[in-house]
Amino acid sequence: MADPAVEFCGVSKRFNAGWVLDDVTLALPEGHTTAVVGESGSGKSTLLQLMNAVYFADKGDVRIQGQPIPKRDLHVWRRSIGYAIQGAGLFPHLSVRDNITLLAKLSRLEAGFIDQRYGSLMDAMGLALELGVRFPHLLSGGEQQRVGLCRALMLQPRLLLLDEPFSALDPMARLALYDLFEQLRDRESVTTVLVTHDVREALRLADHLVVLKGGVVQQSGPVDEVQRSPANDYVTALLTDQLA
Amino acid sequence: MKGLIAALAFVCGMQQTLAAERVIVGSKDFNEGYLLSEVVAQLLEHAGYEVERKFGLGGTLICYEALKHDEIDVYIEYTGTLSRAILKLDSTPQSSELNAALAPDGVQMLGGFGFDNTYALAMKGARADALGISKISDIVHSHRELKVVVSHEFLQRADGWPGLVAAYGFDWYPGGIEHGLAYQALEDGAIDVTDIYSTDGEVARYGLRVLDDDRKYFPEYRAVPLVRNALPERVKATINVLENSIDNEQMQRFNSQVTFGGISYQRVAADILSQRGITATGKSEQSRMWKSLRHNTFVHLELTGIALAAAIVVGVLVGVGVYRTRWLSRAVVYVAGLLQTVPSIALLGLMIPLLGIGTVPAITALFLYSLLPILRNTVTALATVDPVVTRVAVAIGLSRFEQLRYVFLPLSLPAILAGVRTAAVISIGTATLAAFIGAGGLGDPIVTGLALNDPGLILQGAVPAALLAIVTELVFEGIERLVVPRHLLATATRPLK
Repeated sequence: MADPAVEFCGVSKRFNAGWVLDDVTLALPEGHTTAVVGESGSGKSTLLQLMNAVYFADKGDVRIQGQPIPKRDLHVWRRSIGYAIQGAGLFPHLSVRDNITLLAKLSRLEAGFIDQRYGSLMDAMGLALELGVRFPHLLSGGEQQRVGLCRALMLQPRLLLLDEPFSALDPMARLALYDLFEQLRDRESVTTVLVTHDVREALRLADHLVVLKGGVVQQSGPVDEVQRSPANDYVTALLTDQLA
Repeated sequence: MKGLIAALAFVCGMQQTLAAERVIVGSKDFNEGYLLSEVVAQLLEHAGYEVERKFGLGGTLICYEALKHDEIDVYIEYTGTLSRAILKLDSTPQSSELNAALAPDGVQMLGGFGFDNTYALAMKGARADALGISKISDIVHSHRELKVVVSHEFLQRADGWPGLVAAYGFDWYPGGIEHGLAYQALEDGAIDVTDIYSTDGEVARYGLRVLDDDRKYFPEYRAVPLVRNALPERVKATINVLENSIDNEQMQRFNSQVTFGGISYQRVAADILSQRGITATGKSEQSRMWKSLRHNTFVHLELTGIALAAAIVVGVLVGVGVYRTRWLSRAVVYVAGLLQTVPSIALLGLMIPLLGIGTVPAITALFLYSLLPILRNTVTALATVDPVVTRVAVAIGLSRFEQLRYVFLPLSLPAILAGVRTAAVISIGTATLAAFIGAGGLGDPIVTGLALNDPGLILQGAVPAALLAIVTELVFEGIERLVVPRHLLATATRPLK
């Protein structure tokens, strides 16, 4: 197996209320999609935000492609990692186009490259170019989410972090977006970490699974292996309850 | 380098010579103050001095502090005011003793004009007859039927109401009114008794009964030019020509000419001098109305503009600096709110020892008043940006500065602009008070009009100030339309799902 894309080594994180992650050790494979599943409060969203240095581990080490989280210029680190979130979090005062290209412009990328990359992402996400001049509040929830994915992929990130980006959509819009997303992910062959509470979604999009409960990893491995031999009763219950 | 120093020395030397030739004449904000200061000003101009007029300064405190801090060279004061209100003495001593007491402040009285403008209480003659009131002690018995309303300054001064209470045993509290409005209120029957000055031109005109001061409470108020000690002796000698040249009846007549005769105070001042063989030219203000309107409007905009610009810079920077820390932003907004509660005229008065009078303290006061709406709106807007947007702005890799510049400030812009707009309109209104400390602007004609009982003059300040406030509203509305996307203007922005 190639070097892991993401490594957690004995990572613990606490907030005021107590430990959110407890001694997490993980290796997520390069070039694959990993789904982190668990109930709300299981620490899965925190796990994600330790990767792009929004939070910092109280104990242990986080490495991305072998590199530790840097001490300074964190925004440069974060810029190399794509991030999309439930509700999209588009900037309401910027047009669709400006939302997607803001970081590219601030990174002083060449205008021709920005145009070409922007066009290709809009196209891949099935968004008409006319939408580019609109403000986000005029788009449907599904369209907003697609714009959010374009923004996350604009700078060709080495890692893509998705925090429940499909959760708020109605079933039809969600299924349509799964297809578009898979096509684009495969075209870009970007390593992806998807946080979701929906096991069905995890099985649909991911080939590697991490099950979290109360900040403790229950099982981590290829999807078929987890399905074939669940590590404990919780994993079994999680899989059977939701898939029943 | 040597050349530069020599040139600087030359310029400084020149300015000193110019300063020596220039005399700054101040005046209190009532008719007699304007008239007598104008007499002094024209006299000095006749003698060849360059005169700068800072008329209509807001009351004794501001005039005296301005003189003490070399902001003006001379104004007209009254001996009773000097002894009681300024020196806090129980009686009014001789001139020589007064001057000795004033010396530590670097201030000196010159020879008096020759009349005694003492405080007195007055009421309409007919009303006084009906109630059988002829002396102040009569009020003690019938105060329940009387509306006794006195000027704000009289109410506060030790030699005003508080002393009167002690001397006559009043055990109730009167209302307060602006002195310039009191006579009209008497005439209209809105009030029955008020404080007047014994040389007021209104006494005869309104048929007033001056109540006998039967317990001899009111001290002497002889009018004297009050000057800086350091003023050259020849300037003092020039002013001293006026010693003992006007008696009480003459002063009543001169005041009446200005207040009711429709004659400008400049004209009356010129007449007073010409009767004494001095031919000065009394320029009429009337012909220069448009010019002064333009000038006043410009000064007004300058005062508010500079104050507002400074408040925007400081308010937004401080807001950006503190909004992340909850207790700090609360503390800062609280302090700014505290400043807002200090009455403007008090703030202007308090700043004289620090900043003198004129433009600088006026701008400082306006700046302090503008700060709160801008600062509070900035802090609130920044602190209430949608948390999802905030999380994304950090997580996708915008630097601290970029987060502010491209996300948080643009999203807060509508609220910040609304704060600036409020501050601008408040400033334009408040700036009319700047005239009380000689900073000019559209308050100038208002203060002068109030002092000289000239409604036309008041309107020359009040109407443009109101128009300016409306225009400012419109301009800011236009700016908002230009720089804020339409859907962020309305409060009904659909939240992002």
